[in-house]
Amino acid sequence: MKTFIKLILITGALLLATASAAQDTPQDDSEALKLAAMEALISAPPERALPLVNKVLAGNNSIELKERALFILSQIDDEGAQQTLLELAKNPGGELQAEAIRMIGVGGNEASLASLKGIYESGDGEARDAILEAFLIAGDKQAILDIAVSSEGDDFERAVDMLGAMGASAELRELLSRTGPSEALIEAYAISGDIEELRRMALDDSNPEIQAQAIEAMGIVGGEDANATLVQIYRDATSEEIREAALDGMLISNNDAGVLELYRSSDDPAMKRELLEYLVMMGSDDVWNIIDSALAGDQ
Amino acid sequence: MRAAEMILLLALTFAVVCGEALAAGFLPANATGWHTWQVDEPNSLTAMCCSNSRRGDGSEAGCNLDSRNISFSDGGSCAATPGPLQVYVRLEDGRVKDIRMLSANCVVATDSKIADQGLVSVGENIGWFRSVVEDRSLAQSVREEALFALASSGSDSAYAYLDGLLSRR
Repeated sequence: MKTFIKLILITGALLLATASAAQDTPQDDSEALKLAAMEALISAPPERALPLVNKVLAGNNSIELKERALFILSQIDDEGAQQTLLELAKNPGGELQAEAIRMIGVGGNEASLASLKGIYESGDGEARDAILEAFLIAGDKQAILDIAVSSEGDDFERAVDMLGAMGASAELRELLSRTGPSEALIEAYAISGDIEELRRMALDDSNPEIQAQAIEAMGIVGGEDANATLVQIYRDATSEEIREAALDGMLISNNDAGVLELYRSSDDPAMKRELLEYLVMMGSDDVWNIIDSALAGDQ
Repeated sequence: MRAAEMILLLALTFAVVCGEALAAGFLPANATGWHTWQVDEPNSLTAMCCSNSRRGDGSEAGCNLDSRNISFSDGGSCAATPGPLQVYVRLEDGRVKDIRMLSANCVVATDSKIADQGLVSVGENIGWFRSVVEDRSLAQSVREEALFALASSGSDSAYAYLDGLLSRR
């Protein structure tokens, strides 16, 4: 019987050692496994994944794990999954609200995306930003246009920035027709690369401030077409503001060839000096050619 | 009676110490190279296969297990005709280095020999993947592959295991 007791003790010791080894498992390994397990559920059938995802969301788990659960939820084509995302998206100030909103964008479910417009009205700044991001992710230009039309101030500017980043030229033009020109819109035109609309505004002298902003924005777009237009605007300019805007545009697009062309064709010492200053700012190699020519008495 | 007690307890002790080794019992000890087995689950079919993008066009049919430029898919030109799950694992001295889960109908090539372990039961297969997940000495990428294998399995025990893992404190 002594052997029997010894064996029990040995077995007990081994079980304790196993338990102890389990306790030694670092928390980060356990968390890393949970995160990987959650990601792996992407390959599971929805009816298998959904209960596990919901359990994690309802449990006392890390935000990171819950956020990954939201991503899995966004990939499940199931009414219940969309409902859970929407409930979290509607929860004001909830720790998962913004991520749930973004995941609705990732999932791209049309009905859920449409529900975000209602949440935008009552949401705080973080929720509203997340909703714009969701529409950006989903590529829903019309939804962002609708928000821009009904927004003011920072909200308007953020929506317009999004449209610019999406290259939504048609929506930006529609917005211009409904709200009139603004600096935010001009920047968005530049980011979206709508050189045609910028040129139209750059040649329209009815509002010199807007005109100057559009001229500078052409420099952001750059390219041969924009550069040629900026040189022509400089030549035709009837005010110092417009001339300077054209020069700033050329500076932004690093069009030193255009500035050099203007320098060489100018007879006005003050203008030549200003043009030379821009060439210096642009770090143009041609500056040294000009200096050499000046020293040689050519210019 | 005493002898019977000893045998019983020795068996228990052995099971505690070697539990993980038993889970991989269908693989030779300290094996090296590619090994494969088919999961004995005739009703669970997969079209998973791959193409090698080494040549740039991604159109080469089948999988070169040694290639690092593989695109896996169960749809489109990468897919094989649906078949039972065929597991490929690369071992180095018994340690798992790579895992691939493909359709048994996916054409596979490798520079070395593939040791075929034949049919493996669902339980043994799940047990092996569980042992890989729990082995902290293995690369995280390998353990993650094992988790994907468990999640894509239709087995209740695999989901019970994942549930338990996600519920750990």
